[in-house]
Amino acid sequence: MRRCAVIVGAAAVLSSSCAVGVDGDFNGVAFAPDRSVAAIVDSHDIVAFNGSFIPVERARASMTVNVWLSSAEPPMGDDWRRLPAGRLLDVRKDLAASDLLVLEDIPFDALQDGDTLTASTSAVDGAVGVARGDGDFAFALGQRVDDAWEQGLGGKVTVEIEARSLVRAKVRGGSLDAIVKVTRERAADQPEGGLATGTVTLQVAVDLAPERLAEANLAIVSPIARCRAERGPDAGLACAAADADPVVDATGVH
Amino acid sequence: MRLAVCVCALPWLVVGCRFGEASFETSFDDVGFDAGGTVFSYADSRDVALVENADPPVAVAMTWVVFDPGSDLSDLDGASLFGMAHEMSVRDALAIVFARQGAIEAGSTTSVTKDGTDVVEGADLDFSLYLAPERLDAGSTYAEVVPLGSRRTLDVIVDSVSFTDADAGVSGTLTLTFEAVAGRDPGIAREGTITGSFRAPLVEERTAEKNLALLQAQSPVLPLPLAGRGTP
Repeated sequence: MRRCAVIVGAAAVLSSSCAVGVDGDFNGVAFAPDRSVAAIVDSHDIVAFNGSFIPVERARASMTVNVWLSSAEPPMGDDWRRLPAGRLLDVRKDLAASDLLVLEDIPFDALQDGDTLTASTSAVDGAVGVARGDGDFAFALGQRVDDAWEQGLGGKVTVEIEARSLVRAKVRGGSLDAIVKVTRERAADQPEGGLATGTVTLQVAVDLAPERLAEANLAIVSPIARCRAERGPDAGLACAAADADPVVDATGVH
Repeated sequence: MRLAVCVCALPWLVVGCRFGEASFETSFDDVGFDAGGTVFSYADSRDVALVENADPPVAVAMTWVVFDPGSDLSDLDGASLFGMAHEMSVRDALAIVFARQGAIEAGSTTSVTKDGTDVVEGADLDFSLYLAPERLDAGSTYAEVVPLGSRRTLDVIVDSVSFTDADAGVSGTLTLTFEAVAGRDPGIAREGTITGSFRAPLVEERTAEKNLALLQAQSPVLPLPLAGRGTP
């Protein structure tokens, strides 16, 4: 098992402790999104009101958790939208080239109760990409693949998450300690043999990120992950330019 | 007159001297407004078919980004242009459009009121306001997201105007008032004003339109250049 080599940048701001342990690979093909991690409790809905947008706090039963992990090291304490263009481009490029896993809309209550939550999907057209899955939550996965690897990746991916603890402070703070298992299998329309299959287990221990800042950055991470999931490793760096999801500010929607 | 203030240019600003000028104040505690980096005007004299309009609209563009609107920005290297376009999307900007060049007179006052994007009063003036996204940090909360009133009235007093002199352009003062509308805006919507003055030297139409399009290729901020006449 490897341990997170870097305490997330700007740790004092976003994550006072971060650890991602990686165990396993896909037939020798590594998947190690262990350099940065963010866990966000999404406790607000954005309600449209005659062209205005107002954040409204969700009832506890409607709260969700979003988690993303990457082998890149973006500046976690910054609002990426406001980075200089070159720096933002570097962040996007690094994410597009990294091992990247985004889990969204995980039910807060179920996760806190220690339920094992699962989502899976099969690649489209027998390719190696992974679309957003059906199940208890949504996910998107982007994987670096060494040029020397000439066979495909198992196209059926299952992600399982189980929290050992999820603590949310009333005003701000809290932590998530969870096991995330990523399993690749042969998809029904893929040839047998030679595919990278297996299970990678990620042990995640992280302080909860500040919701608003982390969601603004997730609006950049998530489309990149979706793009990579849809296009597979052949996407190269094209997904670095994926349009960000909209973010609501007091000054408008950006 | 072009040269107002020379500034130390950041790498993505490229051009070291400001063009035109504008300054603003707001009544909001937490919403500033700075679109005084580059200020210029142009007459939208020809449509896409190059048919001339004898009494064309006149647009005034105000951006935080500093550039020379009279020089073709496509001469810049790609990284510089990309950087400027990015800054356009994360900084304040304001566009004012006088409906008819012939109606702009020194000392005149022109007003328009809009509910959201719909003009509800005033046919001689239009405007588009772009407020920069907030700069978030770990302490930012959703409780701070309080919308501004959706009824917005712009009053412009023209101080001087010329389309023929060597120093051609428009200058004036403006007040943009934000008003919450009962039944339309949420009860928490904020009211207030942005006030300021501007001096917008006239730029040749073709170059101005090309530069505005280049700067907004990634992300539209202002509805400039104006849509061609007859364009839906």
